[in-house]
Amino acid sequence: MNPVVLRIVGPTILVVAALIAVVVGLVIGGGAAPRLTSDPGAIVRWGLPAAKLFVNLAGASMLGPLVLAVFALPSAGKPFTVALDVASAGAATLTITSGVVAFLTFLSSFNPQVNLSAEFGAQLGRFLLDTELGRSWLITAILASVVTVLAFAVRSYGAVLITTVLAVISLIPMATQGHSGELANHDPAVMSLVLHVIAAAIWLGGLILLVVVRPISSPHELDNMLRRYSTVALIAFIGVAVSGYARALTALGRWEGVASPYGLILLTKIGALLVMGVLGATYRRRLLAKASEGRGAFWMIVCVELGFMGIASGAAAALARTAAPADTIALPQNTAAEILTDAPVPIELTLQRWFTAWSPDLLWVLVAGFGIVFYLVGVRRAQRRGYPWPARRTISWIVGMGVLLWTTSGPLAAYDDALISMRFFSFALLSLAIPLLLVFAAPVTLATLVIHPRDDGSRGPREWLLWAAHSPLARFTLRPVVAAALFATSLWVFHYSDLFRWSLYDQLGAEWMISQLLVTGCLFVRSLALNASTTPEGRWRLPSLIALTGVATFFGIVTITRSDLIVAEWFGAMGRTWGPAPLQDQALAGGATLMIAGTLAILTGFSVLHTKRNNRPTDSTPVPGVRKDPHL
Amino acid sequence: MDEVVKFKILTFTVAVCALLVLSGCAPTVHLEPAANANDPLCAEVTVRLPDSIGDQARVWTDAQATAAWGTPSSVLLTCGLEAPAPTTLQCVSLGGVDWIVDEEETPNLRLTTYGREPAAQVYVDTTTLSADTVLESLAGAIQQLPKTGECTAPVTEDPDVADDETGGSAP
Repeated sequence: MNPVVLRIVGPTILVVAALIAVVVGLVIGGGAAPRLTSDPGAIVRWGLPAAKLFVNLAGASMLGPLVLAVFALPSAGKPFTVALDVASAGAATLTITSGVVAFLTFLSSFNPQVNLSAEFGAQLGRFLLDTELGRSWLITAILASVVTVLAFAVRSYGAVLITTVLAVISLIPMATQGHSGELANHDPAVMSLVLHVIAAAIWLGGLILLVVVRPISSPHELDNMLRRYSTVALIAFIGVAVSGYARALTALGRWEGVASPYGLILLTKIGALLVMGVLGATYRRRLLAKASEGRGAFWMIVCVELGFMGIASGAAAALARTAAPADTIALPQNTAAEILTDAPVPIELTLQRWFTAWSPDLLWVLVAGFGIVFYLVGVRRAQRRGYPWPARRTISWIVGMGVLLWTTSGPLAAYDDALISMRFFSFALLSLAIPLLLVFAAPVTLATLVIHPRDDGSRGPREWLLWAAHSPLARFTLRPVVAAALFATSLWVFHYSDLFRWSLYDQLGAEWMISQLLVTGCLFVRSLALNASTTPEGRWRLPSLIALTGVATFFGIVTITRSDLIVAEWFGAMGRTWGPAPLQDQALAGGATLMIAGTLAILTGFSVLHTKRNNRPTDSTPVPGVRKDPHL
Repeated sequence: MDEVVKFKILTFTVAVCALLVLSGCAPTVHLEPAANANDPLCAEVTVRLPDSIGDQARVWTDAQATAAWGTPSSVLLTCGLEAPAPTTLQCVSLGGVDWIVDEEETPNLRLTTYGREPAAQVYVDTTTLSADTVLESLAGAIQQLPKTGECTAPVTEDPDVADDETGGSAP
């Protein structure tokens, strides 16, 4: 097919397929059926899902091109400029459509008298500012407008990266609303929807960009881009499939749910997903090499894939307006724990429950899964090229990722809402134990060793890693004093400010907490690798360690001895009838944080030994657990 | 002192200040928990308390089964007390909950549930809020406490006890 024709035909297929799917989906699921009371009218009933569909498509054409610009395109080339233009147009469309959705949602949920009176304006204003639903659309529209301007204005890699991050954030509010408009943010299912929306947007948007830049790219450029997009698409596909599966489990509830209209639309989505997966896997691999030479078949398949993506997007928009079987059979929230956490108090924590309790957090399941797979692939590649990679590093990585998974999805995650001690225990693991294991595995060194360097001026994972490692920010935060100060601040601030409360009430807060503790922990452990005898910064390692050990010990003792309860309206209001009373449990929590102090004390001991040994004329051995990497 | 050391001291100072500011901006009211604060029924009350009473927004407290509204706090609530014995103090009934009114500290009133096990107590600054606004706002949550008895002749109309001489009393 002619590239220029395809440029028009591709997106048209996408939109037409999506519109057909949303209409069919609404008819089957009854998402646009007239309501018995306070019916907002056919325009709102059909317009809202249609507008939501365009929000999804606009979000994809904003985020996908940005991600490809960051990871696949050289900033000097024309495709890079076009990608940013597409992203800017997508973000502008997102701004407008999310405004439309906000307005239609307002009409749909409050059914006001539409006119130009001041009263109507005030009602709309209250909806946008005071209700969570209105606010989330307002935030989406504002962020999307910022992305519109940025994508239009910036051309440097750093700025485009920031724009991409903003674009990702702009898609989060609409995902946290949930499918049925329920605003319970605490539910871990929220996270699966966030991941689903973002991964789908990257996948679909990338494909749109491919079609758009094809006429203006040289065969070589196109070849590179296809290869890189194919990797991004594979990761996005896994993300979409896994998060969709998790979301479907919570929405359907039971197997009988599949037979409902909701299940039917869901099956359509799954079918489209499978077809796209098969298309991607078989044909892309076979045709990749020849696509740049203008083989029509490959681009026909891209068109078919766009069609199926349209079906999936349309079905998604219809699904959002269809009542899920699990929502209709859901019992009213009765107990205190159900009101706070959307789940009853877990059964008593016995020894057996330490091995059987689980509460998967999809984000970290994916991080750990991808982390282990990529690392092992890297190790194999290193060995094939003749670089011996120590087995202890591989083991350290797998154990580290395993502990991360266990902490975020295992018994600690299942009980950390009910028991403050479990939460502090997971903090202790996240802030020091896991970073020690991960940093010891030297993942950055492995990545720089085995990832192919880019030769066309674009930035791949390797270039971004090196850029980050050599950035002034990294150099600053990797000074032992700064890293230790960050660690201490993180320890105190997180536990004694409203950040902690946020991590309890809001799943996003919980994810932020995990990320923050991991990052500060890794920075600190990494900063210990500075060699005391060779760098001026290294001299500060021992004093930093000693000071931090003191701070952590003090923290633990304060937590054990305090007579007031942290976040009393949460941990004191769980209605838990087993286990220690909240205050005693808090003392246990303090004991758990003394683990941090203990580990730090051991590290201090090693550091002292190491410094002593270094003062001897014989050659040095690095501190165990900490290794000097040539690339950092 | 060389530049590097100065810089480090500055960094540390900034970090400590940030810590103080962050911990300072989350005011938590200090209260003492009642004896049976860990009663699951008090948890049911705590999670159903209103976000605001009148124009007084809820503020966080540091003791189990307690709550406070307003800065400075004009309403304090404690759940998990021993049920009070029959008394000659005035009793009012509002929103289905009977309250014993202790006006020893006027204009502050101490109101204790009567005929609920465990009992809850509310301390109201009546110069900021009228007692009946508070009791009406809290009635829904307090009703989570099971009823074991009631006042013999409660005042049901006007809980403004300061000028009500013929009020009912607990048996």
